[in-house]
Amino acid sequence: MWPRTQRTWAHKGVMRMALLSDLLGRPVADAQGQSIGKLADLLVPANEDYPAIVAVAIKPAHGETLVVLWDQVEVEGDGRTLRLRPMWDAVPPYQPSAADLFLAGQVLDRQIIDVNGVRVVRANDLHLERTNGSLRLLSVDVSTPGLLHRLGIEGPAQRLASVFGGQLAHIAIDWRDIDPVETGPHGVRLRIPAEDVAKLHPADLAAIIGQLDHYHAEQALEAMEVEQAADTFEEIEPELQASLIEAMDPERAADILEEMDPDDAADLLAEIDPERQAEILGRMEADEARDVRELLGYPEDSAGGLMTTDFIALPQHVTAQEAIEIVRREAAEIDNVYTLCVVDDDGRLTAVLSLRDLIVALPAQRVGDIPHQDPVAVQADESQDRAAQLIARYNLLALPVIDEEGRIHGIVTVDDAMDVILPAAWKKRLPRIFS
Amino acid sequence: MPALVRWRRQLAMLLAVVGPGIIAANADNDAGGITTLSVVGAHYGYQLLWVLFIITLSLAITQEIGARTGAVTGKGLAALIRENYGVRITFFAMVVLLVANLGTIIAEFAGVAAALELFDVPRVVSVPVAAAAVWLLVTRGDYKRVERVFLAFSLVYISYIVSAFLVRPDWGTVAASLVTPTPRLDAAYLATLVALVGTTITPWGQFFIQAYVVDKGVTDKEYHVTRLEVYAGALLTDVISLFIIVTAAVTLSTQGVRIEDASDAARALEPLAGPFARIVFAIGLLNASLLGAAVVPLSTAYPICEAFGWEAGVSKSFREAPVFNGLYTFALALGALAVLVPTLPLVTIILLSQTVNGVLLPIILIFAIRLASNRDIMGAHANGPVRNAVAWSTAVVLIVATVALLATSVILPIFGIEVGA
Repeated sequence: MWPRTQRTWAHKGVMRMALLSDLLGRPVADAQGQSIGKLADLLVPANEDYPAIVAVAIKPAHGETLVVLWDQVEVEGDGRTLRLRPMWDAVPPYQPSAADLFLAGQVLDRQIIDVNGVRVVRANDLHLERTNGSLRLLSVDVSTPGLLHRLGIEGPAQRLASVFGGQLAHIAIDWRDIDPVETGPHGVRLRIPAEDVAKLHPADLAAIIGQLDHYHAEQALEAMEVEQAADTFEEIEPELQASLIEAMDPERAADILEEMDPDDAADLLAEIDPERQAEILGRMEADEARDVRELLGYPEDSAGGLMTTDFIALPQHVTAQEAIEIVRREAAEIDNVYTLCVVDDDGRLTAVLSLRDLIVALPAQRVGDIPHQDPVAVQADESQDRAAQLIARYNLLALPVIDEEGRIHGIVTVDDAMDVILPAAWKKRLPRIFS
Repeated sequence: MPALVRWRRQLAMLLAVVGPGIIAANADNDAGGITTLSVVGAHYGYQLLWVLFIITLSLAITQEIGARTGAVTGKGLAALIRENYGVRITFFAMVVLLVANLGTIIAEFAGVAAALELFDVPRVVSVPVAAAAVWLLVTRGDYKRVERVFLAFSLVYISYIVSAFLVRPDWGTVAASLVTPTPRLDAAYLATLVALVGTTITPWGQFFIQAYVVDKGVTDKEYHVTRLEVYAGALLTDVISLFIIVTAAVTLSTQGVRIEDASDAARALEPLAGPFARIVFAIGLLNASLLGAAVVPLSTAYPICEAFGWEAGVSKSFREAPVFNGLYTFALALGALAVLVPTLPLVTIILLSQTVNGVLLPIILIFAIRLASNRDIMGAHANGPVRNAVAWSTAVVLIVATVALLATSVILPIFGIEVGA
C-alpha cells in the first residue's frame, strides 16, 4: 500500500503546495480592498533551478493586462485573494525581459522537454511552494490526475479509484529537469546547458526533435554543435530530415552534411528540391561533394544507392604493417574499419580482408599475398535486395560494390542492409523482442 | 541512368505536391460521401446543387485556414486548442470530435457491409474481417504503401464522371441549379442538406489537413504552394461530388427510385457498366469505406493524444502508447460492432452519421477560425476579412440549418426512408 502521506498529497496536495491552475483567475484587490481584476499569469526568471515568482500579470475587468513586481502584492488572510500594496494607478508597471518566463502563457498546457526521461510531454499543471513570503516553482505535473484536477473531477475520480483499492498518483517532473519549448517573442534559448545536451544520445535527441513542431525543431538543431547536429540528423526520420535541411541556412546545411556519412547525406539530398540540392552541394567541400554526387547518380533502390563511399581500400603491394598504419590513419573519418578491400593498380577488387586477417598476418607480408577466399561483391546496378541477401547469406559486416570492370566504388554496410530487409515498423520492435 | 533517376525524383516530388489535394478529395468522398451524394441526387435531383456550389467555396476556405494555421504554427489543431483554451474547453472539443468520428467510422463499416452485401457476403463476416484487416494494416503493416493502393483504386470515381456524360443530362439546367438557391423548410430536406455539408466539410477533415501540413513540414515560406494544392483539392472533391449527384439525379431521380440499400445506388452506374454496375459500385464503395476506416480512427486518436500530451504513433506498442492504441482500437471496434446489429438500415445509418457531422462541424470550425484570426498566434498570416466572412457564414448557416432541422423534425424518419425496409 501507499504511505499515508503520499495518499493525502496525491489527493489534496500538501498545504504549502499550490497549483498554478488554482491560482489563475483568483481575484486581485487594491489597497482598499476594492476588486480590480484577476490573476492572469506568474513570471519567473527562466534560467534558475527553483525560481521564485518575480512578477504577476493582472487582467483588470477593462483594459490592458498589467504586470507588476511580486513585492507589490501580498496574499490576503483568506489565502485566496491577492492584494496590491500601492493604489492601482500608482503601481509601477514591470517591463518583462527576455529572461522572464510566463508560466501560464509559455509553460502551462504547452509542450515541455523532460530532459531525464528524454521525451516531450505537455504541462498539465505547475506545482508551486510557498516559503516565507515567496512563491517558488518546484515541478511540472504531467499526469492524468493533473488533467482530472483541471477538469474539476479529481475528487470523484480518486474516490472511484479508492473503491478499487488504488489511487491516482500525480507524476511531477522536477523543474530542474525541464526545458520549456515555447520561448515567446524574445527568441530562442535552450534551457538545457550545452554540456547536458552533449550527453544525450543522438537517437534520443532525434526522438525529441521528432516530437517538436517544425519551428522549434529547427531552433533546437541550430543551437547544437555541427558534429552533434550531424549525428542527430542521421537518426531523424527521412521526411522530417528533408524538410529540416530545406529550411536551414545552406551554409550550415552543407557543414552538417559534410559531417554525415556520404550515403546518408546522399539519401537526404535525394529527397529535396533539385535547386536547393545544387546550392547545398556547391557549398560543401569539393571531395565530400564529389562522393555525394556520385552516390546521387545511382537509382535509389540499387546497391549503388545503398552504398557508402567511406571505406578503406588497400593497394595490394603494401605490407600488413603498412596496411595497419593506413587503417589507423583513416579510422578518424571512416566508421567501418573491419572490412578492408584490397585493390590492384586499376582499382579492381582482388580480395576482401578482415581486420583480423591483417593483424594475424606477418608484418612484412604483402596484403595481396595474404590467403583469402574469392571476394563476394555486388554490381552497383544490382538491386538493394540482392546486396542485402548476399550480406545475410555470407554473414558479412560489409559488402563491396563494384562496376562492370570490377573496380570498387563503395561498400554496403550491414546496418544499411538491415533497413532493406526489415520494414520500418518491425525494426522498431526488434529490441523488445530480443531484449 | 541519371536521367531516369531525375525523372523518378521529379515524379515523386509531383506526387508529394498533389498528395494532400488527392487525399483530402478522396477522404471526403468516403462511404458517407458516396451514399449521401447518391441520395441527394436520387431523392432531390438538382435541388441541392446550389448547396454544393456554396460549400465548395466553404470547403476551400476552411481547408485553407487549417493548412495555413498548420504551416505558420507548426502545430496541430488539437494542440492549439489546448494551448489557447485550457483543459476544460479542450475536453469539450475532443468529445465533439470523438462523437462525430465514431459516427463516421460506423458509416465506413456500414459502407463495407453494404458493398459486400452486393456480393452476398453477410455483414457478420465482412465487417469483422475488414476491421481486423484495417487494424493489422495500420498498426503492423506499411500503411503509407497501402494508402497508395487505396488512392489508385479511387480512380473508380472516374466511372461517375464518364457516366455523367453518358446519361446526357441537360447541362444548362445543371448550371442553373448550381446558382439557384431553393431552400425549403421540411425536415427531410434540411437533414439531407446538413448531411451534404457534413460529408463535404468534416470535423476530422479540419484536424487532418492541419496535421498533414504540419507532418510535411511546410512552413510559412513555402505555404503559397500548399494553398494552391488545397484549393485544387477542394475543387476536385466537389467536381466529383457534382458528377455523382448528376448521375444519380438522371438515372434514379427521374425513375423515382428511393435509395434504400446499396443496390439502388449502384443502378446509377448501369448506363456505363450495364450488368457490371453493381460490381463497379461495390469496388468503389468498399475501397472508399476501407480508406475511411483506416484514416478516421487515426484522425481520432492522434488529435486526442496531442491535446492531452499522451504518447502517440502507429508503430508504438500498447505499453509505450496505451491511450493512443486503446483509442484507435476502441474506435475501430465500436464502429464495426455497431454495424453488426442485423436489421440496421445501413443507408439510414450512413446518412444519419453525416448529419451528426454537419451538426457538430460548426463547433470545430469556430475553434479553427478563432485560432487562425488570432494575431498573437498567426502574426501577419492571420485571417483577413473575406476568409473570416466565408468561414463564419458557413458556421452560422450550419447552426441555423441545424436549429431549423430540430424545429421541423422530432426524431428519425426524417430522410423519408422506411426504417428497416
